[in-house]
Amino acid sequence: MSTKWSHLCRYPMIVFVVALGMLCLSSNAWAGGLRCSVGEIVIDNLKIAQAYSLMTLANLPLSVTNTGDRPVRVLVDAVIPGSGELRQGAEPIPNLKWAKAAPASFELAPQETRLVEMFLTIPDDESLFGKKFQVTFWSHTLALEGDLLAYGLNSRVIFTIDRVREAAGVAPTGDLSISLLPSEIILDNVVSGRKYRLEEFLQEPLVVLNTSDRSLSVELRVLGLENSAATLTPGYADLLNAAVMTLSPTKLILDPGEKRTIVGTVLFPKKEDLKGKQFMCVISAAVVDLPVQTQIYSRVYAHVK
Amino acid sequence: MQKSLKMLAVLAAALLVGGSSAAWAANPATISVTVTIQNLSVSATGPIAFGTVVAGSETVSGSASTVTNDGNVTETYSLSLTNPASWTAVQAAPAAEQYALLAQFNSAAPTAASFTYANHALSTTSTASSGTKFAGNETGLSVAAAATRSLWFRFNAPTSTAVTSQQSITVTVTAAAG
Repeated sequence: MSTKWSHLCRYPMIVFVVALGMLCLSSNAWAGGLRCSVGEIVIDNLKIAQAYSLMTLANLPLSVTNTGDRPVRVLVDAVIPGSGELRQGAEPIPNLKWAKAAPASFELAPQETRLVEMFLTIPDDESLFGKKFQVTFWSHTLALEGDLLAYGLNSRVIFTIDRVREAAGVAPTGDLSISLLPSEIILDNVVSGRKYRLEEFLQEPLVVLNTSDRSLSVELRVLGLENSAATLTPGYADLLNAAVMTLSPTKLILDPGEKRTIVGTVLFPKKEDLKGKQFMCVISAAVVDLPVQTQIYSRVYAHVK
Repeated sequence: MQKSLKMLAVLAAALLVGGSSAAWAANPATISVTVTIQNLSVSATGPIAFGTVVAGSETVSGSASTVTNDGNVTETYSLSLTNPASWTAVQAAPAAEQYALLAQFNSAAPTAASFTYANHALSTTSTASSGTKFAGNETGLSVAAAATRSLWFRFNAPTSTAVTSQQSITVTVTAAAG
């Protein structure tokens, strides 16, 4: 027991009072935080009796950054999602042995980033054919001594199991080394009957960037929710059932490090019953011509005046 | 002639069976990986000051933590706590060696009475914010990118304790997309 506490041991109540007060008043002001590159991934057609690394499958690490001003220790845990966290009719992952992250524990200096590899292992069990599961990779800090707060980020991984086994000797790979930003586009106060350019609503242009070290063929499409892997946000209807949206260009080849600005238009037909309604769709940027199909979404939300 | 016909019949039968098997076999479907939601990020400021606390009392933190969604998608915050070595968190009025820690999103310092165990008590289970859970005049539900929230705490101390060493409680604020 340290010197400063010893003379107080005869007075346990006072020790309690002092301990809590000193605990909370000992630190100077600070700011801490965590950022990661994945909010939600949907993976279709994994095979039983196979083990996957998302790095190998899609060149997709979980990138974790300490955005605070002090070093932190970070843990990345696979956790079973609660019922309120499940999406798209998925069941919670039956066994946490199916999922792991590596490294699962590491130190990060302020503004430092670490790449974490996510693994999924599907048991050799034909009763899993056609099922859909969800696991959460929880990246979180450990609070420093004397601090009350720690931070965490939940990355959802939703995956389906194909109804057949993988062919012998097949090791599929893909490459999702592109970014599509901004990841949310808000079309506010849209008037029906008027054609808008998407750029009118953006502070930064919509840009697709090749972050890999090889050329990639990319296709861009606007997708309604029922034809996408995304979940419709409550209170929103599918935009493509009510409006027309176009993009340009839609097919491109990006050299390593190259970025391209994407322009587009949106038109809601002049209809009274659209007033006050909210709509949603996604813009998909897909890397094509590889064995594993990979794509990244930017979500579009439209609010009709 | 009869031998040829027999052979033809056998061959036809084999083709029929073989053809049926081929019709039932399916190729593995292409794996598809889609990032439907990109960057998540959350930050907060500290420290959280409670000042002097006596056994059996309840105290609202003297300052709030400013929690910021500095990602680029809407986020909902879940809160959980980690117990210290010698005390256990409860979601009701605490007894000896028990405590309650309650959290509320509110723009200004809330009154102690505005916290309720049902809506604001933290536990070791991560619980998502809602229109009522951890809500004051702000919520941690569907926080827009770049938006901030003020997070306040109320601490209900044990009615008594034999503990003489410093106790550390950790609250984890976890952001999820949506």
